[in-house]
Amino acid sequence: MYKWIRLYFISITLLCASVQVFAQSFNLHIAPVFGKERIVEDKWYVSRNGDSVQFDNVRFYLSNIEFENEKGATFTDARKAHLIDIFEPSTLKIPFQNIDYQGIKKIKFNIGIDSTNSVLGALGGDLDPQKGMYWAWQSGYINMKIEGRSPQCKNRKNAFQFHMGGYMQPFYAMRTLELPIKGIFTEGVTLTMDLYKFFEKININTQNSIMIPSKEAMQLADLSIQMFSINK
Amino acid sequence: MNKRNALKINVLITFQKFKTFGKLYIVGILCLIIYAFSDITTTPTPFVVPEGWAKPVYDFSKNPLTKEGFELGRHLFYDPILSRDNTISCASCHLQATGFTHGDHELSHGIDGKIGTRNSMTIMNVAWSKNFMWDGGVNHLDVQPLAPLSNVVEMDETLDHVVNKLNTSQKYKILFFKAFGDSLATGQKTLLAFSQFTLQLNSYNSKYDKYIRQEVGGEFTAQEINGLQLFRTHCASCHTEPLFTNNNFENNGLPVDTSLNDFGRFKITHNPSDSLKFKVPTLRNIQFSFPYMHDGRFKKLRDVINHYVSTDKLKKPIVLTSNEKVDLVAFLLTLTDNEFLFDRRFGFPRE
Repeated sequence: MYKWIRLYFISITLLCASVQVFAQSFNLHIAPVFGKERIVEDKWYVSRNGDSVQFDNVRFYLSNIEFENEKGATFTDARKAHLIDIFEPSTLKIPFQNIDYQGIKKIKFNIGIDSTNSVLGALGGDLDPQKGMYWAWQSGYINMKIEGRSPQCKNRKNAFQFHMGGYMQPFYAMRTLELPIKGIFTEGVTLTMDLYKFFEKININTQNSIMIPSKEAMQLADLSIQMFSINK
Repeated sequence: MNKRNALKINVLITFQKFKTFGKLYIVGILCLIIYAFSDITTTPTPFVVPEGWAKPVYDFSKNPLTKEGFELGRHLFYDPILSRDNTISCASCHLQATGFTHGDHELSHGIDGKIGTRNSMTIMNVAWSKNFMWDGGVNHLDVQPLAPLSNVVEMDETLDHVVNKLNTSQKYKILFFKAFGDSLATGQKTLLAFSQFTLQLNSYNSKYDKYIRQEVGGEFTAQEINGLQLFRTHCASCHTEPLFTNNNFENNGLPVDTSLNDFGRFKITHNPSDSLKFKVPTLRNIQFSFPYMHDGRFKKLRDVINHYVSTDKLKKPIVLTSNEKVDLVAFLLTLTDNEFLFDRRFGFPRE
């Protein structure tokens, strides 16, 4: 009996999956740039302050993504969170099924993982602590990692390491963003992440490392959301 | 292009897509049917809540205990594969005979003989604990193993690398398959397996427990009864029965060791009122869990009691005569649970 029930559920899942394959999808593309340039690993960029910077690890969580149309109807993401790695192209496209994209007016999402999901123990998929986006001696997800090098960083390897996170007040570092979508898009929208804007406000000489939930992590989290915008 | 033509093209495209995906689908369906009828069974292990104890904090619905999960966790617990150079296992600092702590070491030592800043905690009755470590920095049992795993003076490893090592091991392929119906190890499954093991390390059969349950072997002497009464008067507000901890963080008046400058809970909350607060440890099996305190500064129970009667930092000062001190120690020794300390199921797994 139990086996038949299992078979029944598998069939249902399969049916749903096949419907999805044939349905047209609407994509959220993530475009990491530095000013006008697309970000490439190990390439040097110059910030507004004149600092040379190079990136070797930029990853962050996009969670609770939600689209809203002009009638106020919302379309939510089937997945809780996505780990975006700017050097991993497969993570830069998030497909949405069954969206009435005609009147999409707004996108809402979190940068990071909320407090509820930060206390649930061992989660899987993109939230698996194996991904290296989870702290050890002080539990909680690292919402965003920006790592690289700059000769202006006056430390051992001229390296900067920004690990932003924290799920407990007063250092709750997750940020929610709501961005308007103007125009008609049929295939999807592009979320631009411009690291130029992050480094514009940072004095990399002295400010080049954050590893714990703190006031500074909160300020950097505020700064990090200024990187995001919706483009055609 | 009229509507009918557009429809025709659409149907054609769908048909083309089906041709590509169709074969894969049929193979997939066959595999799933085989899966549906295959027998991957695990043996559920009911979690025992001793009579009169509170409901556990751990949510078992997300990680139902099984015999196979426990065995996987047990193998992992005793395996040095967890450390960078395959020398340190959990059991290096958590030995069963001492209530799963590092007996006889003030500060626990790890990889390359490096020494940490604290005395390792015991592992007992963890299902009732809402946070872990002396400073409570770890918020869930499942993620506790990450701390020793990645600490540079303990195991100096990453979960990702451990999972890669596990996935090349034939032994673990079998153990993971038995526990999860899938031989592939992941970080999540590895962590859940650890919890499966540690959740079953429960101590509730000491002489004290038998005394409370009025069972054979629980007959207290007059000295032990007096010790229990003294304990309830002076100690129980923090070391609350039956877990012998209130699971809170307290400042017990120990002066700071200036060679360590460990301010405990403050490091996690940054709240000045949490300075010098540490997690109240359980007193179960205290006879064997020496040395005592977060930095292992006291070797004898007598030293611990002498600290409490001499400090002026307690809300309610403790005054004890020398006879009363002896009685209190006599009571503390009734918290020894030999069934737990010598339970073969919790020991090193023989192949």
